[in-house]
Amino acid sequence: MAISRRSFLKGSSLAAASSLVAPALLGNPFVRKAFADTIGDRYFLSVFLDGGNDGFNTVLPVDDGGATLRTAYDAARTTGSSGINIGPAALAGTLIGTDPGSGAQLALHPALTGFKQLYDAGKLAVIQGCGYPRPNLSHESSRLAWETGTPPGQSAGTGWLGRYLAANYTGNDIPAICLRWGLGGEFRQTATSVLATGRLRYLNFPYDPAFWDDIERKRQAFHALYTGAQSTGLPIADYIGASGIATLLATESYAGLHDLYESDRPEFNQAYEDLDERLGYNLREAAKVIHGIASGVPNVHARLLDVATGGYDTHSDQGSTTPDGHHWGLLAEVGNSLKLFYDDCVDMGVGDKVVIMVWSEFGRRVPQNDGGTDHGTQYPVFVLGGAVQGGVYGNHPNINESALSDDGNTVYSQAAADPFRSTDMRDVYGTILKHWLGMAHGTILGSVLALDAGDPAERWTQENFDMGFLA
Amino acid sequence: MGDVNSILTEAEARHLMRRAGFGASPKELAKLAKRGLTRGQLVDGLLKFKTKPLKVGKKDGLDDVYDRWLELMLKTKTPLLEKLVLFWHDHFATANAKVQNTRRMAQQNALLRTMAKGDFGQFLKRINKDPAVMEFLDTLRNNAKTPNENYARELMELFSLGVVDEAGQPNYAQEDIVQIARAFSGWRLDDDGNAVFRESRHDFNADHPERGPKVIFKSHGMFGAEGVDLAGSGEGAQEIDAVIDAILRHRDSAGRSTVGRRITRHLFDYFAWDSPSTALVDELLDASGFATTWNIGALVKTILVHDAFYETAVPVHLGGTKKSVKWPVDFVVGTLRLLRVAPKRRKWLGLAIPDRDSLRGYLDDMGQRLFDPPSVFGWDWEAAWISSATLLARCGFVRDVAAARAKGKQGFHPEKLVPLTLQTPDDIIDAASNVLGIRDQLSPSDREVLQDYLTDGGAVATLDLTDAEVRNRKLHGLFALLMESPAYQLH
Amino acid sequence: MSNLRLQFASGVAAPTAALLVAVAVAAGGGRAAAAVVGGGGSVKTDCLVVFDAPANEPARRPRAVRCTDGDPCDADGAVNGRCEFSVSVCANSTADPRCASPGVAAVVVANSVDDGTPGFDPEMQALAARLGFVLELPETRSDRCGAPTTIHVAVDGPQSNGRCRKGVKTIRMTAVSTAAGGRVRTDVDRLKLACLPAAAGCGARTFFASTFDRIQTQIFDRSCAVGGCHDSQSTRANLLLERGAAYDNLVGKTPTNADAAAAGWRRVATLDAARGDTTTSYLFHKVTGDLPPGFGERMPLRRAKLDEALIAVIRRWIDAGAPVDGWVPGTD
Repeated sequence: MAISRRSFLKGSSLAAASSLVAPALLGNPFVRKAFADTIGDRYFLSVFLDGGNDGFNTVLPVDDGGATLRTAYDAARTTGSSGINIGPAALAGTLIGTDPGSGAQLALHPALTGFKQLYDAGKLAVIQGCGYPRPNLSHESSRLAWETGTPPGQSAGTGWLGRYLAANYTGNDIPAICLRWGLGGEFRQTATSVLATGRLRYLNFPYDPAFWDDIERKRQAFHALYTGAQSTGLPIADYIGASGIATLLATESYAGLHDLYESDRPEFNQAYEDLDERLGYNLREAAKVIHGIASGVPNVHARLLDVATGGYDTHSDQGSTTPDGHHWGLLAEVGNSLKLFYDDCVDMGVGDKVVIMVWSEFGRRVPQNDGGTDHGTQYPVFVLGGAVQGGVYGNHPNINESALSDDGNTVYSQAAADPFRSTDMRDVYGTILKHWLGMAHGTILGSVLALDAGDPAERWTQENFDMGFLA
Repeated sequence: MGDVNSILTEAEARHLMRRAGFGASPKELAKLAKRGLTRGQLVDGLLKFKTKPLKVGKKDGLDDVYDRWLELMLKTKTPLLEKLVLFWHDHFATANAKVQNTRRMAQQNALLRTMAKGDFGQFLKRINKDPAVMEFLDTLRNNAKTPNENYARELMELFSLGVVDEAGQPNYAQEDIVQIARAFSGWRLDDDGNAVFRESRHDFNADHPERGPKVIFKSHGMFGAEGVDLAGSGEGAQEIDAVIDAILRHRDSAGRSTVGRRITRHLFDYFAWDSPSTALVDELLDASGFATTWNIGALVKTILVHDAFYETAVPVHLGGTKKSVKWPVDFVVGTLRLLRVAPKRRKWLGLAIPDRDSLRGYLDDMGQRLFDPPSVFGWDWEAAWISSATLLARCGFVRDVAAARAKGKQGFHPEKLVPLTLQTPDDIIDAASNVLGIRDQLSPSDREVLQDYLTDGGAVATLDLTDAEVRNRKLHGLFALLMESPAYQLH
Repeated sequence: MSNLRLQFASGVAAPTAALLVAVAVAAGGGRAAAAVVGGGGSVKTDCLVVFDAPANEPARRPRAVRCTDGDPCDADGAVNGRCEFSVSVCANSTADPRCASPGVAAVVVANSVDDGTPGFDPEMQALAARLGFVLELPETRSDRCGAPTTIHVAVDGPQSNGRCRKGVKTIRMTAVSTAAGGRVRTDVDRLKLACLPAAAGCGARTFFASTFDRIQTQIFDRSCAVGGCHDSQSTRANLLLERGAAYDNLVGKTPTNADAAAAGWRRVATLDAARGDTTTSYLFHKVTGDLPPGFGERMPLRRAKLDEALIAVIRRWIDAGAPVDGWVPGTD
């Protein structure tokens, strides 16, 4: 190995809190599945906004159009000291298209100037009204619904991307990486391995940190023990042997990506420093992986990536209307960080090869409480990247007070004639699986996303995997 | 050839303690050897446990209950009970992810303890009415108007008969599921969480003549064309037990007890090795009398005294083909017990990893979260426990244990496990691997690798373990490598 | 865990036990009366995280906030039954030269995670989120401060005797340092905020806009729409009692309890615009505990019964037809 083991521990006596995670489940990694090179030379990045993003203050109606969206918005959200209402004047600089259902002029939150630039360049799809039937307001339950791609109570336990991975990869492949201190639930499955580390520079094989100078010896011994086990003739022992070698090499290779990026891409490395946003730093880790793959670093193949950022559970003191407000800051972070990351990808020559999906576990209630908002249902998902067909997709939910549930939330609808018809999350996933991850339409329905039974007006009984935001 | 009266060798005793418990220390094994026990005597001793439910505090969340179970496993003097509870937890797999109720999960754990070595027929009848199972498999959503078939299906497919018998013949038909679901309709929970029968929700024959009589096994189970009428002794609350009685009397295409064969096979898979021949299954079943007494303890004993069980002790390098991958919980609990490291419940201060305030996190990463099996099928065993991800989690745990230099019981103190007078690498490897119970499992090339590690590639000939620096560096390191070794992942 | 954990990796060492020795240093500039409050613990570790808050008590070395409703220290400036304070949290404070933070690996703010555990406080969440927003863990930069957040402390009352008592809220947080010299240090801090009733400022009409606003604020917000119960995270019994959702979920709605529903009860049963029926109003029976078998348990579950005066407010409100606005006689 060209990389010195010492360098993995550089600068700290920290034990790695990183892990490769593949909790439980389906499939037997022993059976090597035919590797279908479905993602090819592309990348997919999931960006999770933890806490439930206030969609109604993210994509806003500027006027009523043919309905009463703006009037209803003004009725639900107040101005004044603890108000979170954003007026049309403040939205003048971030106008996007019109709402397909009502014709109302739409705008992004004024903090989303980064997204506005991407939208104008035709690289950002705004997918309104995303949700699932019988919505649940619990963070865990609703996040699980989104992660698994199944409505609450029907979960198979595996993630929607996990089922995709399980169909294409085997036990010691590492086709996905979560750039956070834990596993992104959309990758959950047991057939293959997913790497999870918040910071690549702290990733290392777990050696005793007290004796750095003994690590090279330990590595040699580990490598020799597992090499020996690879040829016993007993299949289970041989499999364990191969797993150990693959694991060792992967941790070493991924750890080296940090130094590689810093030395190869100093300008962008510094740009993330200058931006100084959490999400920006997280995305920089994703950029390091992409750069590593693009540079041909051995053992690095994770083309499905995941980052997360939090603070979206804005029950109190939401701060939507001024730049020093909390939600304003969150959205500025998202827009500016992803714009920088997109520019980084373009500069690496993979701008057209990376698709990014930005999602949350739910939106927030239409009427505000004191100075914040409680848990809601539908919200807009963003998909961006060089290959994305930018524009507005899906309808703004109906936020008229009379149309809301008793809980004050928008109602999920699949009725074809409804101008406020919701976008089911599974149509978004299916479109990505079909048009970006190379999975056949029938295979998606057969092994990844299952249609609901029941009333076609209230359930997802008819798929649309050709939403249009990916060609 | 041996039998119940064979005197156990040390290797056999070590292996029995490994599989039927969480391993035994050299000291315990020496004690056992002195007593000259037979296979039957040691197994009887292991099976001699009284069952007590986990203590659950009023404010306990599921994590607390989970921690209490882990603590119990770390301290227990009756490890076979815990091994059986783990087996039944996997067999009657119920996940809190859906149940969402700590009390009911703890209540189920208590039931698994109570019935662990008891009467399997009674066990099934109590599982029928277990609140967590009723929630998990939708008994609570089963009513006359729209019978829910989930539990009826899983009861037969997973808990008792299996889809097909030893000859690959189906054991039941869809119609049987439909009628059994009707028999289970109307069961609910009262305010105290006890199963109660609500007549108003029950599916009576007279109300739904179009569904036909509640007769099952007309074409399977060797009951003849008339099958079994679940309402034979009247309709109502008694039907739920009548289902189990019929299932227990079910005979497969060879005329043998279907449940008897399947549970025998499954328990043998767990304690010994997978895919025993039908002849071996039948031999064990007959010898234990399980198909007539339904006594689980007798069946477990029959397995654990049989020669076939001891085949699993043969190391891989000597041609052993019956090795099994340790479950994560076995790996964690066994390691801590053998190394005499005793982390405080909920405080893993010896390791001081802030995001590891319990052993639960390690187990999660290794792919096993107790009280949350991935599905009603339980966990996938064997090779499915190993991937790059889970192997790194095992190594991470090993690192944290080997580097736990805290004082007292929370730390790892190899100086208390290995005589410091030892000097040659060979002796040190012998002693350390003996502590972990894998001395006989190491291949000659494994030993060479470890000698090379201890001597820094031959730079030194002997080690002075009385030197704390040497111990800290090489003895801790040796233990880490042994625990990481492929041999230690198996048992 | 009901605590938000902002966390990075870790070191291999046991945390040191924290001593409860408070320290505070007045800060120059900034908001009027604002002070950096260490929050407690050993002087040497008290700067891992500190509060920036309008501390005013005790006068010499302020480490707590004590304010009378409507006084200048109350940011809303009005006698309205609650005090408003602006608080932020800073990591790696340099305010006290006796403490040099080695860097922060993790910060836990108590009651800040919306995961269904009792005690969740959205304002603690907002405080923690603002700190989390500016930290890149492990954080070694000095004086990293979250934006200030608004913390409200309600006056307790009016009680059945018509009096009000002081309301108190305590912010608790724990920080864990990065490993320095093989040791991980912890800093356990707390800040007590108290709101005292104004001299002549104790009255329902002073505090609330209407009878239902009083029920919402004094009963639902405090005892029902709380972690693990009828808040949006848990929505027990499919009943959401948060502000903005409670009224529509109660009036004329069928209870989820099967027996109560079968008996024809409503959560709040109204006869017409000016009359209601407490005998078939499930809400009323739930808070009095006068429940037939099968109708479930008294609320708040396993906690003290509501003050009789508050139960009377609910009774009168229902009897008057459960108006969404205005004052029902006898409820002020």
